[in-house]
Parts: sequence; C-alpha cells; structure tokens
Amino acid sequence: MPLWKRPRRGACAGDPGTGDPVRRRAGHAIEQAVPAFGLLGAQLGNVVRTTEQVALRYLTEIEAVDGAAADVEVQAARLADLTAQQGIELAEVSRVSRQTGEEVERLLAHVVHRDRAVIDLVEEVRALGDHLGIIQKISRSTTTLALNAKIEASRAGEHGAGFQVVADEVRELSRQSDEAARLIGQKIEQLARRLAVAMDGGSDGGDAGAGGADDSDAALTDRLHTVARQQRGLVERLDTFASRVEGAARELVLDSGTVHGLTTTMMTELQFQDVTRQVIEHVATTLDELGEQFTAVSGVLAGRADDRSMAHLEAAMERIRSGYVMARQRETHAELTGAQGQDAQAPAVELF
Amino acid sequence: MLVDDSATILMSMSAVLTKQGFEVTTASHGADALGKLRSARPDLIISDLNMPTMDGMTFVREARKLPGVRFTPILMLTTESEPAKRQEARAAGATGWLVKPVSSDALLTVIRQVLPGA
Repeated sequence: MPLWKRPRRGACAGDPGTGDPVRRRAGHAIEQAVPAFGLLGAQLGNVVRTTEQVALRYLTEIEAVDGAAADVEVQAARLADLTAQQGIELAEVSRVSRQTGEEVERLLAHVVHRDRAVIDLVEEVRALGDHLGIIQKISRSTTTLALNAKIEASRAGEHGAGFQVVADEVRELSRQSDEAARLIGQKIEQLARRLAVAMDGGSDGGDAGAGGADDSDAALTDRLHTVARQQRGLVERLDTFASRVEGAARELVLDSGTVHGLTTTMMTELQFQDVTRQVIEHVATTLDELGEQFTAVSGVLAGRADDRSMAHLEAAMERIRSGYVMARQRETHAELTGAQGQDAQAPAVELF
Repeated sequence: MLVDDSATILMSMSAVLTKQGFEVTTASHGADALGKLRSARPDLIISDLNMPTMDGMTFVREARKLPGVRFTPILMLTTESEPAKRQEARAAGATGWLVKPVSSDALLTVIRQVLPGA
C-alpha cells in the first residue's frame, strides 16, 4: 500500500480537515521546498542557453579559421605556381647564360687569334725596316760610286763632261732614294708603334693608369671566365632557392587541406550541444512535474486536498523513462533502477 | 534542406555541407519545412525527430504527400535510437536513420549513397 494511502494514527481516515501538527508541518515544509524544483529547472535552462551561445560562437570562430585556411591554400597554390614558372624562367636564363659563356670563350679565342695575327703583322712590318736598311746601304754605295765617277770624269777633261752629268744625276737619284727609304722607314716605325699600342689596350705609350698592367689578354680572359662562372653559380643558387620555395608552397597547400579536414570534424563535434540540451531539457521537464506532484502532496498533508490529487506520483518513474530520447538515458535508467535494459544497440547509421 | 529545432545543429551541419559544395536551406521545425517545400525542391532532406510545433515523424508523412517530394531522400538525424522509432520512421517514408552525434565522414558517406551524383 502506498505511503500516502495508509491511515493516519489518531485521525479518522478520510477526514481532510483534521491533520495532525506533524503532517501539517511536513506539508508546509514541502510547500516551501517546491519552488526549488522550478529554480533548478530554470538554472538548467541557463545551462542550455549558455552552451548554445558558446557553441555558436565557437562555430563562428571555426568558420573564420576555415576561411583563413582556404585563403592560405589559394595563396600557397598561387605561390607554388609562380615559383614553378620562375624555375622555368631560371632554366632559360641558365641556358642563355651558358650560351653566353660559350660565345665569350669563342670571342676570346677569336680575339687572341686576331691579336697574334696582328703581332705577326707588326713583326713583319718591322722586318721591312731591314730591307729598307739594305736599300739605304745601296743608296750610300751608289752615292759614293757617283762621286768617284765625277772625279774620274773631271780627270777625263772635256771627254768626261757627259759622264759627269750622268754621275750627278745618279747621285741625285741616290739621294732621293735614300730620302724615300728614310721616310718609308719612319712611316713603318710609326705604324708598328701604333699597332703595338693598339695591342696593349689603347694607351698612347707609357703607363695607362690603374690596372694597365693587368689588362693583358690572359688577365682579361681570366676575368671573363670568372664572371661567367659566377653568373652560372648565381643562376644555380636561384634555381635551388626557387625549388625549395615551390616545395614549401606545395606542402602548405597540403597542410591547408589538413586544416580543412580538422575544421570539418570540429564543426560536427558541436552536435554535443544539441545532445546535452535534450538531456537537460528532459531533466528540467521532470523537475517541473515532480514539483507539481509535491505541491499536490503538500496540499494533502495540509488538509487542503484529497488523496486523489496524488494519483500520478507512483507513475513518475515511468513518465521519466518514457520521456527519454536516446539510448544513453535508457541505459542509465536501467543501471540505477535494476530495470531491464535495452536490446542490442542498433547501428548509428542505417539506410532503409 | 536541414530541419532541426537546434540552432547549433542547423549552423554546424550547414557549414559542413556548404564546405562540400552543397546549397543548404534550413527550417526550424516540420511545419516550417513543409511551407518551404511548397516552392523549393531540395535533392535531399535531413530532419530531426523531436521538434516543437511539428515533429519529424509527422513532417515525413506530410512531406511524402507533396508531389515533388515523393521520391526525395529523407534522412532522420536524431538522438533517438530505439528500433520501434526507426520502424515507424521507415513506415512513414524515411530513407535512412542517423544517430547524433554523427561524424562528418559517416554523414557524407550516406549522402553520397543516396545522391550518387553528389
């Protein structure tokens, strides 16, 4: 027999107006406690609202992160494409640089060859001076011979007059020849000097200033080779750097994809708020119902109502169980009440 | 179309599906969704079960009466897992059943199964 149906000691059963002081005090105490049910329900409502607000803010932040990750992915992909293009351009620069180096070497070889030819030419021109020396020697011999002829002509008297004239002419020709040879020799020497100056880098004799001694063919060739090597080295370093940047950009694209996956998972995890909301709302509803039932009990104890108003109290546990919306609630109920548990778990995902 | 009385579910699931390229319409209960279905023709409907005004079970029955929704896949996304409820939903015309919380992978796998072109 339920507690509230047992006859009261010292009182007539069914007489609502003669409750003893203990019962009246118990009823009064219950009346004072009933608001606590509503209070607890309201606090639980606060929990639901707070978690919902937090979940929505959290979702907004996740979407912002996701958007930023998408931007990073786009920029990283663009960077990777640009560095790939840069790599192609650098390969072309490298090819041209190599070709330029080969051209420089060919040009250097040509210049060296030409310089040798000019040097040989200078030497041959100078050698002409030897021939001029011979001509001048012949001219001097001719002059001497003409003088001797004139002397012999003067000894021959009037018979040597014609011979003297010839001797004079020969001597004049010899003088002119000597003069011409001297001028040619001067010109040849000037030409050879000018060619030699041109071979030495354009200075007009003497020291050309700083680096003059270094502007030899060999030094210039070495400098050009060094420049070509440095240029190739620079291009190779740039190419390596571009490859590394491209690789880093591609990895960044992959990492951005990973972030996208993580943010998607985080978004779905926010379902926890809805799950807990439903549990809490069920608890709040149950507290409200219990509050109503205890109000009814206090009314009976205080003699204001008959016991029929407490009729629903016995079925409270069943109403609680029937309000569950998920397996976890039913499992917990079965554990605590000893009632039979659920059948085997159905799959979380099912297509009919 | 997403139908749920939880703002968190509507926002989070919308965000997940939008990232995958879906265009998402939302409704906060069954009656709201029916109103929108008179002009919209979604390729897929995902609905909660326990909602105010009109619950998911009633919504599925009423939606199946609409000419353009008779063959639209309707998935129930709910905390409920009781076999009797599942059978009731199946009889009402639901296409499938997913228990909250569902992972993004599981959700997208089921969607691709009911929407082969997705």
